[in-house]
Amino acid sequence: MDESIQLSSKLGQLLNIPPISIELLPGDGSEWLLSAPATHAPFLFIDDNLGVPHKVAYKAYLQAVVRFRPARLRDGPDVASEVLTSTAVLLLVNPAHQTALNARKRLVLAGSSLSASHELRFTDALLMMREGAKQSVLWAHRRWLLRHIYPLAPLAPRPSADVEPLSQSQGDGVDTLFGLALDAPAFQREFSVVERACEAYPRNYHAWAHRFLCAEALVALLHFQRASHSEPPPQELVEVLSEERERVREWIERHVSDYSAMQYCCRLEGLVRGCRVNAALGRSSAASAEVYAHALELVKAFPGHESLWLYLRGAVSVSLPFGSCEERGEKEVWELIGVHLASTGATHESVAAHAHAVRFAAWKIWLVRAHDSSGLCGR
Amino acid sequence: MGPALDIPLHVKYIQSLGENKDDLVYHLTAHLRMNAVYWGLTALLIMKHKDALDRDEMIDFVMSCWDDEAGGFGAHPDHDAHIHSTLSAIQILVMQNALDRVDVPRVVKFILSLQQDSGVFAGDQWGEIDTRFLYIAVNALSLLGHLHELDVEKTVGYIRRCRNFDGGFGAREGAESHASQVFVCVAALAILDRLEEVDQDMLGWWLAERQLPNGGLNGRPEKLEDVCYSFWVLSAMSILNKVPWINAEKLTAFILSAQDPEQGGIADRPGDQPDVFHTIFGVAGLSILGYPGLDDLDPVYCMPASVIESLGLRKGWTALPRRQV
Repeated sequence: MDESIQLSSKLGQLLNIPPISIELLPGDGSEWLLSAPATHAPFLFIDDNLGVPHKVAYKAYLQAVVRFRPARLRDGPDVASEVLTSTAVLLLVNPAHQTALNARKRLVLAGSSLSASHELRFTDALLMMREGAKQSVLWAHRRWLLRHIYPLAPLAPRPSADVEPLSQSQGDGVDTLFGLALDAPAFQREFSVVERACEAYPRNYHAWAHRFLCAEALVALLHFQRASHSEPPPQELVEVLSEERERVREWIERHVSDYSAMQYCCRLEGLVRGCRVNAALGRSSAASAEVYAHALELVKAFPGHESLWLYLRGAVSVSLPFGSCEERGEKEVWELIGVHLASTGATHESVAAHAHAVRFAAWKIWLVRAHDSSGLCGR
Repeated sequence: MGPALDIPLHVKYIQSLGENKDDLVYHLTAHLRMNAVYWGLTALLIMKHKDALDRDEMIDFVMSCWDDEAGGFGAHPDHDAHIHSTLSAIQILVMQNALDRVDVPRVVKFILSLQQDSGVFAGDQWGEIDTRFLYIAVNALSLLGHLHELDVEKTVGYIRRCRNFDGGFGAREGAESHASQVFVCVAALAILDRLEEVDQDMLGWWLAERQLPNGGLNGRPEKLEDVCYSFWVLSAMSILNKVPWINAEKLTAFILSAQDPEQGGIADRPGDQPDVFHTIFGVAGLSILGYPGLDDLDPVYCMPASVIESLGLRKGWTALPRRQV
């Protein structure tokens, strides 16, 4: 067999195990390979972690392009292995290669060469890589696979008219987790995958969007998955939700520029507030006061961060439908704004804080004017 | 003062893109090829160099990507049909005056088949949804003269659901406001004559807050400036008639500083490698800002304004007046 075909076959095989992590290594990997086992050379494969030197990956890619072309549209077991191998290599180097991903979906549908759970694990590894982590197609692929692994939940019919009627998919077709009978470990896994992807690629837009879809699905199960609405929701799912709210706040404290996390945190509160889960969580309207207090505390500590002031705006916005502004520590906020408006500090942080305070004050005033007719805020 | 826009150099850069077909980069970007051709052609037209690329070769390439089974276009021969590459194909053929090559009823059918019950569109048969695909569908149907086949209420209803508390829009419900998603939602509403769905002051403000002290625009709070937002943000502002809310001089200087003075093309920010994506969006931004020597760009379609006007599709957007020098 031609040496370069051997390369893409070997790489494809390793990728399809799949490894628990994949890393592209600089250069041709010669320094690493001196001390690594020869079995997998020119690749590094240790404890299920795969290392692929860049130059080798690119060579294998060009081979995979040639191999994939004829295999792509044919069917049958002989072609399946060609598709599996070539698409794995294509996606390693180019995780945006949608046609390769589609071919793998076709294999899952065909039922014999690739199971949805196996493919989910391959996707886990791709999403830990910086380039993979930011691809919307990989997150959609993930949801598509989850729909093949988990059944639909028996959602209880709406007992009352206090919420809008929604179908099992919310009308979004197959790109949703709403109504899937995901269990506690599945939700925990999804939240972990999102966090790892956000570590690989900060402010990861599609990871946070996926996280919201998971949270929405979780809350829907808690809200609807009961034979009658006098039954309590499943305790382990309640715990997952509780844990998730804590984790996000911890993440925010460690990433004070991460507005994506902050807006997710506010939305999570909105989801929780918007359904009957509060009682199960043992909380009342104090819930969103907590988010507000969290945001305020962080703005006081790091006033130069635009994101934190926007977090505060988000916390205010999510609280608005549920209570008057007086409960929300209005006085504290205006005091804080006052401090920064009056500041003549020349440090980068003071200048930034001043600007953010001005904008926050203007926004607050605008908001009051806009809501004046509904009488929500006294000022 | 800063550098001027080096049009001849950028034209050469775009011409060189198709040349090295054996390059790794060429293969690594095959999945975007149709889009890249659209970006290159639009940039050439705005820079008034339509004939810099061979028309027949381009049309042949577009048609070689036709997927007769799906009724749409892929990004490259041997790549699956997708709504995004389908739009790029239509846009290219419109600009090349070759729309007669398209099986319009089949493409319309393909596009309409991708609408979901909620009103959003999927990108292809595999179901990924995104407000980008909604805009693409609306744009494509209008260019094909089949917008009347769309359920407008359903479509607008979905955009309404994506409106966030900050006035912005995300990729779907529950997603963060992002300048490129704002663009697609606002532009789709413009085509559908439903801009009243937008809180224009609030969104205008959010968009204006994208401008950083160095003059560049970002796509979300506390992110880096990037030339492509010169289009996403600026075109949305143009549709909302709020371009003056942006400091035009500083943005112009920023875009010009991201040019590659050696190989041509524009990068995401000064000093980085150029690519055709940032080249078109930099040029598009400059056109909206009234930069001299460029043709008018329609911000709703990101195509030459004259082409859109000739199709009777011009909407009520405003750009800065074209400076003479």
